[in-house]
Amino acid sequence: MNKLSTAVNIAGVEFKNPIVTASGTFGFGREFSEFFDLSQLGAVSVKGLTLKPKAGNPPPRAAETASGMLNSVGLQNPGVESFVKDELPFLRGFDVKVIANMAGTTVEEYEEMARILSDADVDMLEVNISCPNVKEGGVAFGVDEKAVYEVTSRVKAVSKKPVIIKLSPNVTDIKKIAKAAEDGGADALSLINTLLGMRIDIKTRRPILKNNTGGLSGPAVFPIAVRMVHDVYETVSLPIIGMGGVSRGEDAAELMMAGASAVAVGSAALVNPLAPIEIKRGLEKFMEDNGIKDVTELTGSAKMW
Amino acid sequence: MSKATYNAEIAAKRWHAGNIYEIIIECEPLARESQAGQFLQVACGDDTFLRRPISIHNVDGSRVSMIFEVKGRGTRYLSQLKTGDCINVLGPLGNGFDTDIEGDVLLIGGGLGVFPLYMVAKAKGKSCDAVLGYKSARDLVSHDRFSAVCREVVITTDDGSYGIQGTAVAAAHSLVVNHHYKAICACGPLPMLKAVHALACKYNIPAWISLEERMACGFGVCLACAVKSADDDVDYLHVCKHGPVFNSKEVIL
Repeated sequence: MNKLSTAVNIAGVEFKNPIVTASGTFGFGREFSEFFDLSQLGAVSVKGLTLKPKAGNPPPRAAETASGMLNSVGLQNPGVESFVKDELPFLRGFDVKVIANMAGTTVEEYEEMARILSDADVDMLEVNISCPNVKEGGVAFGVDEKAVYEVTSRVKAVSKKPVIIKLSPNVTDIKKIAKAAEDGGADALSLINTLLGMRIDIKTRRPILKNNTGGLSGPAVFPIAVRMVHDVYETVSLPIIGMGGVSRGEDAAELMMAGASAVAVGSAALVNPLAPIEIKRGLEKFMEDNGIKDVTELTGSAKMW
Repeated sequence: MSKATYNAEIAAKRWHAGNIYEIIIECEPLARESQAGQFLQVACGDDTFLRRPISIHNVDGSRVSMIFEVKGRGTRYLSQLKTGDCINVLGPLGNGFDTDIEGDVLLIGGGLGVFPLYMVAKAKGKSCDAVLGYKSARDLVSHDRFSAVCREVVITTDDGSYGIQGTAVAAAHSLVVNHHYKAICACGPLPMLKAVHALACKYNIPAWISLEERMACGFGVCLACAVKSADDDVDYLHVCKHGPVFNSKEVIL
């Protein structure tokens, strides 16, 4: 068997394979490290960080849907400083690239976090402008082209690490948002975050989630991710970390064909903690079965009718 | 690498009462690790996305038992499986009951909350009493198992069709005043657990309560199953990781 080349390069950072964990479904790695060796992954994106510790939303925070789930966790996290001090050293014990995901309520907060994380031992910054579960900030930045340009350019100005902008699917035209991020100087894009949804308990006539609405993820959103990754790939020349309902190696191949250079696994790992590893192996098997020697051949290889 | 998922064969399945079923799976590594009050995340077929958290009722040799009520699609799927079928389980998960407590322990179980207490009953044997509350005589499940191992078992029913009419906690009250329990272990509906906490505070007995909350992963990463912490410095604890068994003073119910 010829050796497969699985390495991918995202904005100058080499991942040994294209499989990444999606922010918010991975914590800071401790729990998953009990299931598999984190060094088998290309990169990990940690739980979304805020400048100060954040309590998150009242429960219930999760509801099942057809082929997926809603969550309204609301960025519960220990804050950026605690991450750097208490969580990052553990992750650094693995041979895996670390992406620090951060969310702010003001542009100044994003700048401040970018400064702190630039001096920390992380490989890349992922700017979350797309969390649907917090009242201010988050997605408020992600749905307006001017705001996307503003936050991207100001984070870039202070950042010493490559900057990934994480895009929301809850927009009219994701191509315009992607272009604004590129114009602002983004080094890479990641998409899609969750889609805003709601479930109602028909016995109580109340939303299942205490936050009323939440973000939809899981296999249900996969076709939307494929379409949006394709749209963004056609619009900008930045590398894309694709995500949204990826559950099998074939899904990873499909999302790469749509235009992704790397693929993040999210909700699938909440159901099967070994999913990231199984998806990695499935992608490799797909390469072997189809005579693909270099995984980068897949990116953007789908031909539209 | 200490945690895993298992494809386990169903060694036995039985219907108990109403919508309540028991599944016993053959899974030696799981049986070896499982402790009283821990739970499993059970995959429930292609029509459900998330696993279903189900508490461990018993471990017998290499077999692990779960008793559950059919509440929706996932548990319906499980109830229709047959002996010899395989299910995928993740676990054992969470922190269970401490069965090494010295001295006498009182178990208080309500409805489905009876089942996770059985391994405590087995471990404590004649140094524990149990109060088991059910809606009605026709809902009585597994009480005989407790009677076989505990010193005293009191049954209550809401409608008085069996045992003492009233709540489990009301019946527990008279036991508490006549004994020196070192701890209370309880599982059941939220109002019951609130009453257990009040009883425990009144008589200054530590109460260990097993909680439920809508859960996604079950192993501490998604942060869905939040429960309000009583500690001013901590906003939320998580049922799957910090619980499901908590000291009743750790949480705000």
